[in-house]
Amino acid sequence: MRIKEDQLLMIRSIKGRPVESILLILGIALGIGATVSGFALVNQSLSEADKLLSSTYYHEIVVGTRQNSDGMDIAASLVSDDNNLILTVNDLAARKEVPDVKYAYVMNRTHLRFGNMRLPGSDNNGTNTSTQGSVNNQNNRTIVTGNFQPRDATGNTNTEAMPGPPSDDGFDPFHTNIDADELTSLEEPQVEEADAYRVTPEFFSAYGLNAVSGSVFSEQDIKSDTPSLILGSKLAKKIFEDAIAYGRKIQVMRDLYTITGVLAETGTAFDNEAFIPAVVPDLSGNDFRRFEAWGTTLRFIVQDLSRLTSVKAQIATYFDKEYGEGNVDISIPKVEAEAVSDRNLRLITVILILSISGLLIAIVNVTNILVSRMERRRKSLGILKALGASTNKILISLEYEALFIGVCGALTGTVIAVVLSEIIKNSLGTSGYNALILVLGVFISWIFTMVVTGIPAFQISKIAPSEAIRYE
Amino acid sequence: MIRLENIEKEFDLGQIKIKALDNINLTINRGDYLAVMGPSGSGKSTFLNILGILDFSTSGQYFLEDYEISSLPDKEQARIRNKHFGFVFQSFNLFSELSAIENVMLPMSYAGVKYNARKKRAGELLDWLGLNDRLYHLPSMLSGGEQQRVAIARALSNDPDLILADEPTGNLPSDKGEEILETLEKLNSNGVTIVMVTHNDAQGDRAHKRIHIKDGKIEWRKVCA
Repeated sequence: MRIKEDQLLMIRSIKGRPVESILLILGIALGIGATVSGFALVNQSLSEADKLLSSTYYHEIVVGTRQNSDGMDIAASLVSDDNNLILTVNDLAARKEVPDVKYAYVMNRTHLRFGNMRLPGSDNNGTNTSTQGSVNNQNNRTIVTGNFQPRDATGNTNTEAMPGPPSDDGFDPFHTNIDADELTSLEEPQVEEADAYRVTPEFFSAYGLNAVSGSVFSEQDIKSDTPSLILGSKLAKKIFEDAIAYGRKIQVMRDLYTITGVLAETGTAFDNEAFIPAVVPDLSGNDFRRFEAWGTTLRFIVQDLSRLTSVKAQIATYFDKEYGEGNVDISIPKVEAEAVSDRNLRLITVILILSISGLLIAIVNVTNILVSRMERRRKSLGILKALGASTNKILISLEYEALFIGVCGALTGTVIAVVLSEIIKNSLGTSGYNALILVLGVFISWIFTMVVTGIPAFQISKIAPSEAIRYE
Repeated sequence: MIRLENIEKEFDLGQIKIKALDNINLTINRGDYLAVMGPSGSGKSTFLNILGILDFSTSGQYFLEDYEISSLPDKEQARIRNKHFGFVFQSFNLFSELSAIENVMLPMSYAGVKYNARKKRAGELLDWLGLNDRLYHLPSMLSGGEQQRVAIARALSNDPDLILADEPTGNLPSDKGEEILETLEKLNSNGVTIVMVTHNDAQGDRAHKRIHIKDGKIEWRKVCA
């Protein structure tokens, strides 16, 4: 199909004013880009906030000791041990008095260091050939010194084995409970350390975590002295290249842990984390595990979010009775998150208004430029009418030009919008492609194009030919 | 062919109204060569615009082949301008973005003539007017006389019944003006009706019929032998 002469006229008219045409296209593109990405920002933020606030974490009521939350400003040496309240797994009993609590668990963040602490150069007999540590075999019990390299004043590594003196309570950080033969038979894990949680069994139920091999912790695991470990799916693959983790043993610091379960993949951070039981320490004795309980926070899941505040009050009553008023700190993460979310929403609303303002300014400017461009062509349009063009044909002819500019601007604007939304998506750390952006982009582009191009084209097309021809 | 009855045209300039045409009664027959004369501002161009359906009278009736055309829809009026009328303007009014041949082809595209047919017809017309070596030149590359000949070729493209020429020689030197007048006369001798606005008495005298407009009224009319 060949281009008709009137269409040719419009095409050459656009080519004849390239700078003006490019500015028009850019004006439309930026207007659309700003608005669509503004909507994308709102949409992403709202959906992300909804997703976050509906997650298990925001169903929690978190109970910690007052020291946990306020004590950071006080030097530890100034805090009397007697005054320190330590919450333990046993305090989860509070749930019995609060029927709205669905799950109660401990979920303390910790960090595990894997690997047998024999270092390269040490032989099976424990004879140290390394300058970095030593393994001394004493009565079939192993004292490991490793990764702790005292240096002298000149900065040189002290090559003397340094078992380190046992403390008064018998705690020896360099002592390992692992049988020497067993220690030497352990294979080196591929991962040195991992983030982990000390958890109680209901943690797995609350987050819907299931074991793909072995099982998640039971109440017996919490009470048992046998060290056991559960690995996230990805972490298990990283530690053991053959991916068979269940049943294996791995050294974690000075104990030998048995891997009693590997979790099914969840697509969350849990896949790269490890889980060990949050044990019940003997707070009255010299159980070193009391240190592990230090900073324990108890978490109570409430299914009905509208009940969070009343459940918090019930839990507060329980702990006030147990430990005295005000000694525990109870918080609702959702309330804090909602405050942040509300603040963000206000900021985003302002950004959206600015984006829409940008679009309106673009509409006004582009319409003005198009009108003046068409006005300049008033005489030509009059001649076209004299030569037999009807008002409709003139309108269509003007629309060719205006639509070309509008569509180019709309397409460029949609590309800008998609790029900006990708940046927003990456900045917010959200995932997944949002089809709404594209639909919105096309819809706004269409409306924009129609408004910007249609109004001036319609006005000019109605001109009387005699008036146009007279116009010099 | 055309009958004008009691045509009046008033321009509303807000507080004052100007009567550009007053009680115009005229009949134009097929094959006529009519010269419309008069001083500047007398209403000649307004008369020509109404005759070419480029403008409408405030009152009165305009019959084209016994059809009252002011009541016709915009699309039908456009079709009449395209198929039955050809316009030649004093300032040529060619499109500077289009070549000579494309300018001539343009009205035929509105008439639905296929590309090859309109290109052939445009080529023939330009050849007939002595512009066969100027087909693909832009108007800016043509002399005034050549541009006016392109405009005449454009006016003839749809084989019109009536050529409306508004001072067609006004912007041309006398020798080129003479060429244009000869061309129009040649067309008239081939049966095309010509209505030409001019304030040049010598040119007016060459037409078969003359009317003289003053202050919007036909002051006198003359039919030459």
